[in-house]
Amino acid sequence: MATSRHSNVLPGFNLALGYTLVYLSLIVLIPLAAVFIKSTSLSAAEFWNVVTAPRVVASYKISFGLSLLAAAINVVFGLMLAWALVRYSFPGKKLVDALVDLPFALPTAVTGIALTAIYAGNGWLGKPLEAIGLKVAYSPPGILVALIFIGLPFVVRTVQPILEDLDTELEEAAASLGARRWQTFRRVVLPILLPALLTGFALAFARAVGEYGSVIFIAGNMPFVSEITPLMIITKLEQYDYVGATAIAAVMLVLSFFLLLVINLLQAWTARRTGRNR
Amino acid sequence: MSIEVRNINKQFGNFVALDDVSLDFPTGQLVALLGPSGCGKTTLLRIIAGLESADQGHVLLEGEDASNTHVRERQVGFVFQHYALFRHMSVFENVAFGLRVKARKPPEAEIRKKVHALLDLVQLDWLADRFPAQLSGGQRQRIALARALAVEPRVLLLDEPFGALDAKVRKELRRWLRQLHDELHITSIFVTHDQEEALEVADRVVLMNRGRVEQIGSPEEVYQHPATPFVYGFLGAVNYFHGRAEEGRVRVGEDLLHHETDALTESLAPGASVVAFVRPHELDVLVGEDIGNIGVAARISRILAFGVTARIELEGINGATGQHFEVEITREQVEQQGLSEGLEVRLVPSRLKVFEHNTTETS
Repeated sequence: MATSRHSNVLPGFNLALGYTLVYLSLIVLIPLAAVFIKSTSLSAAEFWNVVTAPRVVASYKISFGLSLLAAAINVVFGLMLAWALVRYSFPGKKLVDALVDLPFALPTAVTGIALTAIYAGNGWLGKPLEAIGLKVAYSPPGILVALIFIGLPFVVRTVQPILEDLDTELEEAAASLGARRWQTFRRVVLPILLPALLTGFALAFARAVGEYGSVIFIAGNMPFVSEITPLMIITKLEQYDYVGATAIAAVMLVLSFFLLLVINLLQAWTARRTGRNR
Repeated sequence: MSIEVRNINKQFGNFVALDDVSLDFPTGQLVALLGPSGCGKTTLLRIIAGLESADQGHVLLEGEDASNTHVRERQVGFVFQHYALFRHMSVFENVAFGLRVKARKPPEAEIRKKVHALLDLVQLDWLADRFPAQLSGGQRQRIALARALAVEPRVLLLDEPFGALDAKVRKELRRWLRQLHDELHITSIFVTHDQEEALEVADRVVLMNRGRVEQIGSPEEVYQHPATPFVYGFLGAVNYFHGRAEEGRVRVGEDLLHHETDALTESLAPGASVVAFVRPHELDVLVGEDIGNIGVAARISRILAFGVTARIELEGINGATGQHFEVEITREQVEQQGLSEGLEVRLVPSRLKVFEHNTTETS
């Protein structure tokens, strides 16, 4: 009874588990716990007042709403981009493939400045857009553009390997059974890509919620209109209101964790529904 | 439904996959496309299905030109070598797929009835709720076949259907496919590189090599009367003798091989370079007797006597030095004649097929 006879093929489970827990604690859990501990120096009423201040609540809406929207847009266009990169060959394909990673590598401030220059009222794209009545820079659409930009690689890179493994025979089989192109995509291709798309969505969303550098230049940072939550935290910090900053940070953490949990559960559900976890 | 292909050409870059191929597949028959890998058989099947398009030529289904018909409208059932089952759907949903994507979707009760009938047909109804990953290779291929049959195809096309299975399962499925075809009588073409499989299962065999059709016929015809050296070499084990034509015989160095004359050998000029084919069981082994230069001199290098027949490997001496031969005789003969390794014998063919050497293409 003391030692299990059920030995595993791969040794070192205990070691791996111990290492994982220690590492995760040091790098992730302890710093995050500090946020919560710090924020408890506020009384419940004070805490509630800080985190539900109208200006802060408006920033939650901007941050989470636009991040979800940006991730959703990235799922659609990231999938199209990945599809083109995997299924077709065209001149400059290698270059395009390399460009996809650029948002990972670029310092976020550079991204912000570049996007602002282009989408500002006198910029290359900002001018014609403003002429048709769409103000991008210094307004919520500008934030959206920045969040789409930084989130794009996540969807492309998670979907790409799955697409490469996807046998064209499956689509041929579907076609020979009388399925139209759309039916084949909807019933055969999409269900197979769905877990990867959800992962890409989650990553792009998580990145977008935490983004600060690129957004801050293009957002215009008008209270109630284009202020993101990370900016609220920075603002508090600049006023030496560390406790207030951590209170908002704690709320942000809980909200993000909750949303990522939902996405994970969704993923588990699709996996179960399609027979992968049996 | 009958299938005809007319003057099909297909190139991949510089590689000629199909070179002016014309074939008729009569209604209700099970035809095998047989040939070595790269001979164009799969390409031809895919062109018939509409999964690939020919550079030139036409595909006629029931006399109607279907060259420009999309695969979805051709009503062909296609079975892939690696099954191509939808792994995110249960076995039931896989089979139901073709019914669910129909423009006029049948009612759910009808779909259920039909899918279960098909699963019964392939004897796997008890697996309806499983997923493809939980099935064995043989079961997967049977499900793939049930799925293809669900849309009531006019023809059934199978691309190396048993190629990914192990030998025992393959044999079982062969017999099963033949039975199924006898029940359904649907015009079927299957591609294989396994000559045994083709000869055992098919009504007719089409032998292909390098994008061309070498011979068409019943399994007996092609096995007993191979039309070309390629077919001779491809269908079963064979011994080659290179030599020169003389009247009614072939001279291999000092040795002589006699043969019956036919239209082909009559046309040979005396002295022409020829190659003679003999199957292992068509060679007699003679020991010790003084028969002059009849047959080819050889030395026994190995005797493998563990089956019903004994297989003897020999090495040529004199005229056929350096060549290897294979003979199949009964175990009794081996004992009676006192054959042993290292013994020098003469090989005399009871049946010999002679082709002119310059047209020889062996596999």
